[in-house]
Amino acid sequence: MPAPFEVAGMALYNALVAFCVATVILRNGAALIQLAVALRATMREARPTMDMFDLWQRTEAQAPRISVIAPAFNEELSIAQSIQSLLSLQYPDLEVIVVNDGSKDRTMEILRETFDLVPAERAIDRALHHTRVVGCYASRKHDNLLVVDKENGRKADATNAGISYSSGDLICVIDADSVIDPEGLVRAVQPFIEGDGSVIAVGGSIRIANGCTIKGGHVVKVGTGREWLPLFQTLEYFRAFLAGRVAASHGGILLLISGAFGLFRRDVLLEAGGYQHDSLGEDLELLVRLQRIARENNRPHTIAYLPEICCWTEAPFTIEGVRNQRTRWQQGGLQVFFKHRVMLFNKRYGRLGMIAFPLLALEDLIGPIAELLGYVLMVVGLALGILDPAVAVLYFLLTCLFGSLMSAGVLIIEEMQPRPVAGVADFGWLLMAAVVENFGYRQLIQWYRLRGVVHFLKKKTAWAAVPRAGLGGKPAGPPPKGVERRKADLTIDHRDPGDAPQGTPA
Amino acid sequence: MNVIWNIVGYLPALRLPAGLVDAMFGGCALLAGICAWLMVRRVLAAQRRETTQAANLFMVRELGSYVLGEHPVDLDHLRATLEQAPLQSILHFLRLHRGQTQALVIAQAELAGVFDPAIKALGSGVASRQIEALKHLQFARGPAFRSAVLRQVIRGPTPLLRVEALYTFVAMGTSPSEIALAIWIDGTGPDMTPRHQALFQLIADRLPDVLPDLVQLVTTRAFQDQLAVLAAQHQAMHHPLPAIGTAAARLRAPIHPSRRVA
Repeated sequence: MPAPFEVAGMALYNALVAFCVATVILRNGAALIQLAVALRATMREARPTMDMFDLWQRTEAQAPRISVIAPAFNEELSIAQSIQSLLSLQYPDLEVIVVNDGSKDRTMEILRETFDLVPAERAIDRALHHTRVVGCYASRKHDNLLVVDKENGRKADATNAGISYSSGDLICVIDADSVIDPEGLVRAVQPFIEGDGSVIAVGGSIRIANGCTIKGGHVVKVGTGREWLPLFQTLEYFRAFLAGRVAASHGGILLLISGAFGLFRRDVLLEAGGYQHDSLGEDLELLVRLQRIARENNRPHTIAYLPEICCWTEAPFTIEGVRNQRTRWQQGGLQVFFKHRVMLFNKRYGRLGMIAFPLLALEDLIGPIAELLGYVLMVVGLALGILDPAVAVLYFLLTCLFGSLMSAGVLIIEEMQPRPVAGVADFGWLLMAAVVENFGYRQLIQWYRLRGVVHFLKKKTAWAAVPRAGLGGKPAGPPPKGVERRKADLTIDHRDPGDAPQGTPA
Repeated sequence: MNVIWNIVGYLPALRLPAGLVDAMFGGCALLAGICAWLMVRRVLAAQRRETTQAANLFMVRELGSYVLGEHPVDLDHLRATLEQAPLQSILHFLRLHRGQTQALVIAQAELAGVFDPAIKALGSGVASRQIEALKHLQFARGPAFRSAVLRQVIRGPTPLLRVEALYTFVAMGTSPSEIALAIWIDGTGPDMTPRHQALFQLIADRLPDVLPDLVQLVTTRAFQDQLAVLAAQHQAMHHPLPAIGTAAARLRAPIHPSRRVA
């Protein structure tokens, strides 16, 4: 007869295995539903027009003024090109506000020289919380360019300053080092023009620029490159932006518009108080808060998501970069979840409370822990002979094989996009990556997410840098001395935690 | 260590259906099949893109030769060209041309069935596809197309679709009576959207005689808490036709926000 503690130990083991398997099944179920909804939506919806003439015709007369806000921190190598790219966006009534967030390098000097800046007065109707503004400059070369020079805060702080100084009806928040398609704004404004007035925010898809050819601040040739790390991230972004977000948008449960590109109604942002400073996932927090406020005030609100709007960003190309990024995303997600936990299973918040928040808990709170624990339990169980190999096979099927099938499925949606990845060869590499990523990379990402959970529990708020090579073939080089790592309230990397894939297993 | 193995020996093992390993191999085979299928699709899509580009170039060359008068119009040949050309290219051509050339191409495009998919999409029940179809039908002129659009003006399921249909109906070159137009505008719902403003602008451009009544209607609606209409009013006031400008100016005062406060 086994001793009671043996029975208890085995019962605990079995319970943990059952918990891990059940969690993986739940996550897979959610992912499968998202894929199915996204596939159906992509097939049923009209293909977005590629005809700029048509887009302009519908936009020109009614185009609300848009203020594009680009926070910049230590971006001396790319700032001039990035701002030229923003100024060349095709839109009838556009204002570009660059917020220099206390850069320690030559960012401000380059802006001053390139755009012939002169001091300017700009009245602000309502100031959001941000650090002290040192100066405000207008360009002699471009009437619609304004540069706000301020003391260092975080991206949220810089964006708030930009919003305070903006004059547009709509606010477009974009990373200064991201590249948006020239027609992106004209597309993004359509829901505001064609809608019933309830649209408060519009998001677009973020795509990996590694492997693409960028000239003059625009992506001229789409490609994927041949390096595994960016390839894996490309697939992750496809799953998140072409399946997860599309499905969430159709279900009215979209919680996140990436901070790398988003268009918001200014009055709504001002009413909500802008971005929050103490959050590592400020864009996730903002959208949750906007919807929460709207729900609490019984106001109709719609969050639109247009996957055909492409904002190109560079993925980290080193494993350390991926680690730092994912750890931060995880922390940000957990911060937002616990801050707004009152929404969980709260009928007052409708689908957000009943579906979106439970999904966030499943993905960000339980998911990474359960999956990693499952791997450990499988290995230990097989080594000790206490686990039926069939269970390990089941776990393999549910994680690795299912993950590959999901990636293959999302590539079908990707092919329906107006700008699919170029060439058959690139596609072949992506298909290979869809299988390979499940043997090592997937587990590594779960480990980094678990690290994020630990950091969250320890209340660590330091931001570690994410090394990047720079878009357009320009290496970004090392950050200036002394800014590589700072205390929590300083900006290190403006890359956006909101790029975090939402609603699909990484 | 022996203790652990002794413990393990007593423990019950989890049991699962025996076909699980088969499922694994089946799943792998399924994955391989999907990958192969996707690759084939990709290759075919690349070929299709090339074919479309070729058809596009062919259409531009053929239509360009008619526009330039390089050779006389062969209607059968033109129709055959339009049948093969991508719809977006034809629409782009139509947006760039006016007058006889546009009318000629539209007539042959209608005969070639270029707009038939748009009529089908109108009945799809999917709002985005219906709106996209209405955009395409702006260039159609035949009575069948007008009837299909008018059906959406009157019976469209949502105000947004109805206003889009009305925009298309006016853009098709129709001249509805003032009363009919007023009734249809009223059917586009109480909310004043930017598409309403676009519609009023189009009416001001295409049907200038109707605008004074339209302004009256807009005024009435403005009292229903829709001050966004001021933009449309402002546009009407600056219309090059004096009658419209006067009518708009006369009716602006009652809907000014200061009057509402008073």
